[in-house]
Amino acid sequence: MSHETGHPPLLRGGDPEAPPLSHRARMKDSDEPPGMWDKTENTRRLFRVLYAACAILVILDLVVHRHAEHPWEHVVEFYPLYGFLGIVILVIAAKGLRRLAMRPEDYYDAG
Amino acid sequence: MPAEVPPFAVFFVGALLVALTRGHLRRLILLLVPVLGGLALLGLEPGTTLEIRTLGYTLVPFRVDRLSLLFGYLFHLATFLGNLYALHLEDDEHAGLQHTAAMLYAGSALGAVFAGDLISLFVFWELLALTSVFLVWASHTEKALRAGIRYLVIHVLSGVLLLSGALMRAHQTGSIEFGAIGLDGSVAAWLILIAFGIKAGFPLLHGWLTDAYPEGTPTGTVFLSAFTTKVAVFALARSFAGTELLVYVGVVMTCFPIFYAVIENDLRRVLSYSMINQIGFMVTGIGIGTALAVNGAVAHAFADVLFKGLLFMSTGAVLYMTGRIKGSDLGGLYKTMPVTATLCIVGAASISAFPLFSAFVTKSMIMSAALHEGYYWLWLPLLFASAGVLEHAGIKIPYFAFFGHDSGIRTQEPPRNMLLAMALAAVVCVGIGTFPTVLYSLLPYAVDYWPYDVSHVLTQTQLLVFGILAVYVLIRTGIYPPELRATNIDAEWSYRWLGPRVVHAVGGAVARIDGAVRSATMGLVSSLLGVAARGHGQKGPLARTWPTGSMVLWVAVLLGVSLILYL
Repeated sequence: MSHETGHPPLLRGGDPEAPPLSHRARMKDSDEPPGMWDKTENTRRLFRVLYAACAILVILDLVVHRHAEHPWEHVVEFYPLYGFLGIVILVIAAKGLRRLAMRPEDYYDAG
Repeated sequence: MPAEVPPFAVFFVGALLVALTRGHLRRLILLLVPVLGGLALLGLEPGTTLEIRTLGYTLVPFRVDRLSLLFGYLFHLATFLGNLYALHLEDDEHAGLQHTAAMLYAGSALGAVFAGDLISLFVFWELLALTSVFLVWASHTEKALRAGIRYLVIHVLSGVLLLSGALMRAHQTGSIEFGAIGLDGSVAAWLILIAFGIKAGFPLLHGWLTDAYPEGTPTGTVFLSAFTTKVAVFALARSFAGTELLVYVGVVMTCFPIFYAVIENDLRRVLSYSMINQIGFMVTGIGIGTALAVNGAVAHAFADVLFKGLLFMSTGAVLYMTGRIKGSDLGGLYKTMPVTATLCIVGAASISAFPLFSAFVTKSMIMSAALHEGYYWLWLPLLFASAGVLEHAGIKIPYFAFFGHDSGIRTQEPPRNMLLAMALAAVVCVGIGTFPTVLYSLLPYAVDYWPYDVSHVLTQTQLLVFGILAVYVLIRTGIYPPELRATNIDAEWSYRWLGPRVVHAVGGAVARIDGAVRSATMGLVSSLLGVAARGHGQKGPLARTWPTGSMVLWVAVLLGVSLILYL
């Protein structure tokens, strides 16, 4: 899921602020062949598996009689909804937390 | 080795041997001590005790029951894996210091879980802090030095609270037994609970954990993650099982760190937040206090040491090999570290509680117990926190280190001993998840629980797979926050930022008031001096040199006046 696959770049690579590389590591050569997950067809295949898994789990919820102890568990597709919405709310709230809590990296050293 | 030797003694002797040896002999000792100690442990029967009568107290430095045995097995296993993982250390990495400190630290943890009285517990409690801080300081950076000092101060304070509580309790009840305490309204019980709470990372008391653990050496943090907080969980299970307050404390612990984990850039700090989240589940289980809940709490502690250890080992391997550990500096390492990446994913699946992985069979006991006891509203945030674990430990750690945007960093797999330690931890994680009866048979109460039914497998898989889908959608739509170089302020802000400024401000105010008082006093003194100088100065009438005769005259006058007054 990197630049080459058309996904949005998440990380700033080669940052001059990064600490020095260990002597056990080096930067890549320019003529290096692409890795397994640089190939679009592989990432596409992976996400097709994810979609299929989601579809099967939604169908199973309708077919399987699962026992429920909590009142909300009786709601159809409760767990898929809770898992999906839980993560969305978590991430959006965490972005809000960043506005409150984020300070420069040397915050404690500077004072 | 006779079975009655306390495990901590085996480890302390081992630490001495480690300190005195070098090279292959030292490596052999590092691996043999936990193996031989573990074999000796298998021969121990619950009920074995060692008592020492001194100073009017009966000290019980060694007492064996099912709960302490479980943690005993766990700490031997963790020491073996940790020592194996650190076996490659060279002298320029302070190998002798790190190995010795780690053995002493593990021995202190064993001492604490086999302690039968609160004074013995206090001794090992303080030793835990004094020995482990060297694993932070061995990083030899200014940040590590300072974080280590803060860590030490807070843990010594926790020990002082424990000792104060123990002595007050001894005065009130006449007993220093390390057993069930509970909140009985006494100050002593509260002091002991707060002492335990500091080490367990209770909300607002957790600052030391996210402060110090990311600063430890790559190998040292693996040890740190295994012992201190688990000793605290053990102590809570022993003394405060069924204390309802802990249910609420635990739920807060599961929820608040996951928001920080989303935005934290340092991957070992993400895991530190994750650790508080996992301990939250254990604390909740202890608070519920039923056999199922306490079994779940200690089983989850067992599983956590292994999967969290595995995650700290894989991130430690990344730090060791590349020199970098921040999400914003990493990515694409699967190309050169595929085995490490795979083992990291096993740890991630284990902590996320996928079926067949360890947390699935341990955390679910706590979730079930919460429902059985009617905590319907609290079960919802626990389920939310379970999904949150998947996001930060299940996806974020492996994704940002090994996949994500290719940082261009190329390296190779870490030394073989590191790989082997990670592989063994991964095998145990899957082993617990696949064959839970082995772990269940070691739990303190009889287990009447089976995690593998259709409903549980289906619902947990639904929760997790749709959580993955949500992360994918958030990344694709650009909503997911990027990794940024930043410090996120948390509880430690109170003593790292606010405290020094308050002290500075109060100090400034005190200095100003002090200055004003001094100058006023000086003014008063100098005006008094002026008055005195008029009388006593060089030309003052009282400073003149009078002949002896006049003194005699004045004495006579004084005597005369006295006579008149007294007659």
